Amino acid sequence: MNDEELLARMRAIDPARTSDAPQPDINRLLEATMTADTTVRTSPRTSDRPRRPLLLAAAAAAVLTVGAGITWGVTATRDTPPAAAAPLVLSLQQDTGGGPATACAELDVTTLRQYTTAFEGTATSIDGDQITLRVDHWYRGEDASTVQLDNTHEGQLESFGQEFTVGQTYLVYAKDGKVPVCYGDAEATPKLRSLYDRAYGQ
Amino acid sequence: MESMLEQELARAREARFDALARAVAKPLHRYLLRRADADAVDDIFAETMLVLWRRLEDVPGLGKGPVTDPDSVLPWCYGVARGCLSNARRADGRRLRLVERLTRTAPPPKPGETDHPELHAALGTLGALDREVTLLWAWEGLTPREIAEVTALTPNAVSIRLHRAKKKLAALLDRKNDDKAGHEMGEGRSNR
Repeated sequence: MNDEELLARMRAIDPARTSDAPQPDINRLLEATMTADTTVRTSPRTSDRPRRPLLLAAAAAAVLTVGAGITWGVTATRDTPPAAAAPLVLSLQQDTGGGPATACAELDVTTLRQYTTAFEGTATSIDGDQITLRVDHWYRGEDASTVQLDNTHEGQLESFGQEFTVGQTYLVYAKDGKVPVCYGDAEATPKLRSLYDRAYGQ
Repeated sequence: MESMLEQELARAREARFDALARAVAKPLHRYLLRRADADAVDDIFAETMLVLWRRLEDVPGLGKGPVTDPDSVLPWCYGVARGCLSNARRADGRRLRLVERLTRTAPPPKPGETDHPELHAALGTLGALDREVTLLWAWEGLTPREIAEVTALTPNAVSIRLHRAKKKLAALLDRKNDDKAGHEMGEGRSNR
């Protein structure tokens, strides 16, 4: 089989060729993207991060939702939090013996509402299990501009924890300084943000 | 209240993003359609556009005015889409592992993979990066240099991987063809 035959066979199974998914609504998307994000700098970046979109860093920049019906007017007029505010300190709730399975049902609005602290933040530094997050948006609770999270999990199944990456954005919920054991999948996505918006009424 | 200059800069930035988005939206959407679960495509696509908006200054070759050559900006944009896709997959992977632990069932086969099973199976024998390089060649129609920009490999490494992957696929598919032909011949022979 030569290149052309292989290419023809590959094209025959191209999912985009046979898909009946609708074309993206570019106008609506542009509108939503540009109006959602209110912290864009208009001057060129001078960061020392590599300009090539590395696999992890590329998606990290996505901070704010483009979902319909989200009112970001609150964020747009919010003043930047005072730099002097002390960081909020959180740690993981260690397994209380109830078994992780019972706590790891899919996150829903009812569960979220039981937690008095909720925010969206970007990891700015990682030192072993100590994660520093810059708060991008408070859903409920404090007004600190940074959060120190002690991500030590003792004797828990690895798949329940969240692995943090600098530059990535996360949605975190907690109560009395404790983040529940099964808070994995905290990476910020439009779907997860929508859940938080519904839970905390924004 | 923004100054006149800030407003002008913001407008100019919006115009540049508008030009970029119009040039790359459909190809990026197709890229994701080909690789992500149908119900995840829209989310990942929205995420990708948002990253492009925030990292507009980093897009190589993006000047003022309309994008005259989408091919010059597409590889970098595919790279962003690939990053967003990878994030979504990692999150899904954790959820799936959890579900598997709780229910001990195997994940169902993806829809659309029942046609041409031998080609899907052959692609499955490639490593993830080799497969991606192959798909970028076959579906996105990129050159080795462009594939290098998407995957952060060198063009040389891309050429080598692509060559080996194509050879492997061809060999597997040829073998399948021979097997099929052999069976058909065998049926005829048994009548003698």
